[in-house]
Amino acid sequence: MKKMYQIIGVVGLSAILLQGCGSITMEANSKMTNSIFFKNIQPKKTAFIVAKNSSPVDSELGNQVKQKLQNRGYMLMDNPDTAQYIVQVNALNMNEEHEQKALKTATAAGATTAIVSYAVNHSGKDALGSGLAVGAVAGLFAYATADGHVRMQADVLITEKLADNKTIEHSTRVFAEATQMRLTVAEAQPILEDKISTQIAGIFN
Amino acid sequence: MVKKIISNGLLASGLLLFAGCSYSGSAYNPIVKPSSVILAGHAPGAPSLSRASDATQTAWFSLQQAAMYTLKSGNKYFAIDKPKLISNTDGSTMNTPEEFAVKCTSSGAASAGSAFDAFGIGEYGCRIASGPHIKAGFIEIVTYKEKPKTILVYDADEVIAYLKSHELFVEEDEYIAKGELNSKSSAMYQSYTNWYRGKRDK
Repeated sequence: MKKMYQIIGVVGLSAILLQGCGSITMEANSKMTNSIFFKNIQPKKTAFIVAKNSSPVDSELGNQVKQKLQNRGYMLMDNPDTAQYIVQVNALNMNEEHEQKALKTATAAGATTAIVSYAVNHSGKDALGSGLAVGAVAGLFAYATADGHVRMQADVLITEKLADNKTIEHSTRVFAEATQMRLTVAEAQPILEDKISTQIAGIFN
Repeated sequence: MVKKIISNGLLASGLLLFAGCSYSGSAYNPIVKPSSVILAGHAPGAPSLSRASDATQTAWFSLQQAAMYTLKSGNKYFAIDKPKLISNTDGSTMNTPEEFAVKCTSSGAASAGSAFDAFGIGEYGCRIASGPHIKAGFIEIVTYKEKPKTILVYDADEVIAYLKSHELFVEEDEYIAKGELNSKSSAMYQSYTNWYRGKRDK
């Protein structure tokens, strides 16, 4: 019996140590599908912003874009006719993806423990019990440490006013992704919105 | 005895619960994409003692196949559709071989997928190498002639250049000579593709 506990301990600890931990600190990045360059090198710093949200969650993206453009010295206009740029932003989507390692880890650790236990003790009952025990603990640990990936996308359409009442449209899509152990949409959303709004504001001088 | 049955039952229930909780993903996908192409391949050489190393080789080989298929089909860019973990069509921001090295290979600090090496079961190389054989890789891609404005894509030429400069590129002669050709007519390709489709479509 003592031997069986030793097996459970050794195999279980190995499983926990070897299964690989998730990311403790959040990693987040964002990218645009294409760069935008304006025709006007020295434009009037005025903008009219239209923010929409067609994603399944409430979004503060529009407000963040407004705040960051103001921080860059842009005056937000109430009338699009008086603005140099009309900035339209749509928060498109927010989704999450988690690694599927809990069941595999539990199965692998449980099966290995059961095999080792049977080889040592020649007892099917002990092998089953120890396999289940280690499998459950390893699975729980893998579940608790699995990385979560949250992704957000936003469409951007900027109408730039040129001389003689002519306009030119620039469009891009911004993708942002955050990764952390057990990350949820609620935790990642402010970070992703910050990344995307910074990227949009970065288009402007 | 009763106590043992109850405790074992609880542990088994725990296992089943983890199975249900371990995966979640949004079914909503606003990115409209053309139909994807499945590339199934077998990385050259026999399996080694290190599954992580084999998985890394499979992941690189699959990325090479994606780039080569893109160029051979007259296109320049490709987006990964599956595995979902690195799917550009699902919003993944990963679109360079440098990022691929960090996230999907054993040389990367934060290799995605389980590193459950000692037990021989796990998801390696961002789930590219998760087939019936660690050297078998599966990747679904969408190819483009022009760089699209609605999705992040890999530049096939850049991928090939990176693989060559890092001595990761496998010459076609090399894997044909070893009998591990991944051609569309080969029985191996067909059997791998069928296995993958069956698993994917479940």
